Amino acid sequence: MKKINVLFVLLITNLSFAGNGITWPEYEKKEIPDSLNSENAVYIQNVKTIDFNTVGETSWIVFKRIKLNSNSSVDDLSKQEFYVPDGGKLGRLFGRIIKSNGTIEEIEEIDKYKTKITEKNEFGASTLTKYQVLFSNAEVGDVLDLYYEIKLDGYIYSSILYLEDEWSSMYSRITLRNYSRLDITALVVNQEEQPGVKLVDGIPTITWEKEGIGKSKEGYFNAPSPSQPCLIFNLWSPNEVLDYNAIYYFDANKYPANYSKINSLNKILLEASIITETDPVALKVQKLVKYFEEEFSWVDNLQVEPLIKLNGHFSNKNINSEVFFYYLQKLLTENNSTFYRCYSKSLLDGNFIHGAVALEQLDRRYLLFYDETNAEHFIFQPSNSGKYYYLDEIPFYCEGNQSIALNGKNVTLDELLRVQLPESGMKENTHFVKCMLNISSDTTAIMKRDDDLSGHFSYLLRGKSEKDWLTDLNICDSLIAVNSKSEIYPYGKKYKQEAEVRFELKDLNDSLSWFSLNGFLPNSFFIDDEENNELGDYVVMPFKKMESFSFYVTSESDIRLGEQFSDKLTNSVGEVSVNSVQMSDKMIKISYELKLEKRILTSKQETQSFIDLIEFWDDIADKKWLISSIN
Amino acid sequence: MKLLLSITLFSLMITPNFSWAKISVTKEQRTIVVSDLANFNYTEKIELLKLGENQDYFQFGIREGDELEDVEVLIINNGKKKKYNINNTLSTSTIDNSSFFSGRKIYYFSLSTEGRYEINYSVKSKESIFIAELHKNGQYDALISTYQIELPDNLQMSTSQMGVLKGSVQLKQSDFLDSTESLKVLVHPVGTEPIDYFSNWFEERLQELSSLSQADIPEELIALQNGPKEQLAKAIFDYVKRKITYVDIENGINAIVPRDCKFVQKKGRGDCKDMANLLFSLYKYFEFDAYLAISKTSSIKEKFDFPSLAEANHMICVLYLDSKPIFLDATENECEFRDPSLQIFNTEAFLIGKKPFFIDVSGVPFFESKADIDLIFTVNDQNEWNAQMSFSAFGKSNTILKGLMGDKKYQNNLPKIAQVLVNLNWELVSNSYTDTSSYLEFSAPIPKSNIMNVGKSSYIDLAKRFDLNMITFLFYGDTLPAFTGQTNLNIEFPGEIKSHIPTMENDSYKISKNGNKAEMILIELKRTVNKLSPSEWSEISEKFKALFNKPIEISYEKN
Repeated sequence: MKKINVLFVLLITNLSFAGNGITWPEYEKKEIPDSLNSENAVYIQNVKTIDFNTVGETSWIVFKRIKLNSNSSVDDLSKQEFYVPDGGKLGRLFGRIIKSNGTIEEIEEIDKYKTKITEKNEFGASTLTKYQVLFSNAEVGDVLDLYYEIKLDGYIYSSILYLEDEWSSMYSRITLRNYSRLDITALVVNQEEQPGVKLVDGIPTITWEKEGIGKSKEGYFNAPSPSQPCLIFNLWSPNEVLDYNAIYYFDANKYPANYSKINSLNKILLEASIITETDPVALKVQKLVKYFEEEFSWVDNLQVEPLIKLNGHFSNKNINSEVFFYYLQKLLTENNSTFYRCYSKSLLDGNFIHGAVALEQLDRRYLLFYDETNAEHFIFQPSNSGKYYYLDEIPFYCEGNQSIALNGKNVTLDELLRVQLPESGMKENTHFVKCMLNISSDTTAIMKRDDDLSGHFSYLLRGKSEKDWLTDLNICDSLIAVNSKSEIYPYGKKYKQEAEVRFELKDLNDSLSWFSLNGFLPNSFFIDDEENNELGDYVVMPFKKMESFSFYVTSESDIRLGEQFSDKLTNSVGEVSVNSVQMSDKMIKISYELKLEKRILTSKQETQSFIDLIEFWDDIADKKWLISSIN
Repeated sequence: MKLLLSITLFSLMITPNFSWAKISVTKEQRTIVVSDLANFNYTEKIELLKLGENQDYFQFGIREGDELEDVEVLIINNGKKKKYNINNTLSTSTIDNSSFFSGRKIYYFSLSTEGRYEINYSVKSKESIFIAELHKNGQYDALISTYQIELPDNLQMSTSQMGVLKGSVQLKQSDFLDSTESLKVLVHPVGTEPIDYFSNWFEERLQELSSLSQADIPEELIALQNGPKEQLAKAIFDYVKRKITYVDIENGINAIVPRDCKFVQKKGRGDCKDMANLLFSLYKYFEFDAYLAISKTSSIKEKFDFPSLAEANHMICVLYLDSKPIFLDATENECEFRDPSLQIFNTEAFLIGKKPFFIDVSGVPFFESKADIDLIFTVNDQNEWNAQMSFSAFGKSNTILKGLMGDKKYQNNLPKIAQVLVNLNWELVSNSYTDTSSYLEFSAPIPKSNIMNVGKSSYIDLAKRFDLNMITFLFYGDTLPAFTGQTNLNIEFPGEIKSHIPTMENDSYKISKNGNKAEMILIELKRTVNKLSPSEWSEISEKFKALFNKPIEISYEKN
């Protein structure tokens, strides 16, 4: 550690400004370790400094020194991009190229190329300015220096930061400098040595640094592993602590449990025969959610102040995720149910970390409550598109994560629980298909198909996205004869259909024909183009699941399988299998099964096992089945 | 929380997504007033209809060197026009979606209110040579579009379809020929030929930019000056390719005129014009017969036969050796001397200062271009099927392949390249490649589900293993041939092919059982430029697909 501290002091002192210019940290040619030599590019230094100034602003200062190892990294890094959020502005910006022969080229007109963009996401829209910096003369073997400052209006009060970045790094550092009147605290999780707050030139400073940092993966299922070190910081009032007392205070102020001016929900729901007197509280909650789902309109912007407006929203049948909780809490209180205000986050953003409050991870609000038999239940905030989670359903990326549950009187926290959100098992997320295909011509069959789905499959097929998911799962195009729904977890859902469908029977030779069932099977495990999705060493799949597809192919004439075929791939992640049986002279049965038994993959070997399953599925789903020609 | 969310977005890759669906331009009028050859102004008046209350963006672009004099937006209610404030949302960008440096400034602003709008802007511009194209439906695909052109007495506008325009001219959509979506134009002095003016315009500007002295010439070239001419010519091409890093910078007048060759040589970077000009300057220094040529890439389908910048998007150097033209484009790293680059095969170029000005760039590579793929299926005693594949590439096909393999990222992924050819999980057995040829060998297991055993025969399903479009993409850079070449695919099975394989043949392809060998299928693709239309290619591709769509019956001795 002594060596790193010396380096740090050198960097701070060397990175200084002269007029409109910059004095760069001294560059010493360094050998890239063998372990990083196959990487397209490597950070020699990746340094971020966050300054909280005296006038309520945050400066985000970045210095990157990158070695280019290949032509593709020249393509990627000769045009570097970064973003400035709305309300922020770009300060100093410098770049230079250290050529492999040691000569240095400063970048001209570096601040010229910018564009403003609006990005919509699940939570709304944000406007960002994208800056692009060109290192036009970059070549393999060069080192690029990039320095920029972003000034943000307001403080970042709390966040979780990782040292991992786009490329592997020989040395990475995050420094927090607090010029403000607030107090700063920081905790590095998964690391023994804590950075602490030190005075550097009289400024309270926190420094977290490390040599040898791997790169973060961009693919959809990749997540920070629970053992990955991260820094949580808080900037808070002097002599106060950002703890769960404060969080509870804010939450209880925002969502008072039983605001007297909100009409009695028990009364309204009873009068409308939505619930009955004898319904247990959990059933009342589930009925209320279903009532919202079926009768209410989703309106993003609803005024809630003063809270008496909530009565009008209810009678007008308007709702959003904020209003949803007022009514839920009111109902629970009226039914004397103890509930906890709880928060969690998506596993894709990392495990919920206890021990320090980080505002960033209070992302998904839910209520934990107890029924008359003291059994616990969950009810989660609906998504912004108005897709509801039913009683005891947990968003799949929150499943298995830790969370925090708060309870108290008025605005005072009395009780704090650490809650591990349960993870649904393979058998709770099922999709069973029984499909009769009676061949009626060379191109058609009469299909009778039953799809039984439960758990997260049921959630996917809910709300406005139902049709899209029916298509994605290859269940059908549009012909649904019956759609029955279960009210009990895991909320089984059934589709029945009977229709003439395209079913091509093609001649192979005089005695054999063939068909394929790929049009009746899902194309992937979870997402399109799954096999090309980059998987890292720590991967979280949405949910465990079991799918089974039984096809009974019949014909008026005799139909015989050309061969009895079965194949199976079983590994530590799951199992995929296919089997065919001659049931009678006029009927053959072909079965496919797909099981994902492990959802969190923690090694290269496991991710490879998952890829093997995907590829195996891809092959068997396309299999051509040979049958004796039908006369 | 909003701020925190924004911070997390720093690392996201986001591209602008402007919605045009709910904005339709009803009327557009562009007035172009030419003062002299060096200066002109234009004003644009646009009427549009915006549906819905969502925020939609409107954008317009001007050249970087131009000056936006005024922009005004009016909203029209019951015939009354009221100023619409765009100051809060007006943004400028020098980046567009296609190019890092587009040479254009894009102005955009949001329109939130539903209704009719009028947008007016005026631009002060330099160099009338930039007046190159008039679109039948204006810049915005307007329902009604008109051009008003004002020319001084000493200038005229030559056009590709309407002859010569003089004085004050109004052009309506009905003035365009039905089939003409746009008109190529050039403003030039009365009494001059457009083709001569176009050539002279560039020649005058190049005089100062293409001059090298002995001190500027690298030793490695000086050393060759008394040797064979071809050796020196090749060394110059290799030197520029190696020395200059290609960077696309289209700003100001340098959107069309190269930068000084000495500056480019010193900086070690440049765009196509800069690289072409350095080539030209070096050839000129060594007294070769060479010319700069305004060129277009094959992405532009229209023929380049009118002296206007409308179709020109590229610059090359044309060197005459033994009175034969060699088209040199140093922007393609792997390009061999004498071969045109992939992007200029079968196009046209305009020679600056040499008549006849227009010249065709050949579609036939100097080095014969060929790719051979050998695919051999085997089966072992346990009835497990395997495949061995070797492929070799020569000439331009090798250049394209080498472009992929030369990259570290792809070198580690050679099996992925093989997977593009034949979709199996390949393992690399060996590889070697030189400037002129590549040879690679792979092996892979065949999934059990692709093999069907019925009686004494086995059936192999190869339907999803081949895609002819991907094969041609790998060796030709495109599905339709940009250059002439040949691909042979030889497939050998472990026993006699019992399925009927029809022999199909025309000028472009031949599919057959391979002569005496009952266990082989041979597919030959002769790809001749201009002899293969998209529909013919689609037909070949479908025939190829149909050949493998059915499982193929193979008969062999089983244990």
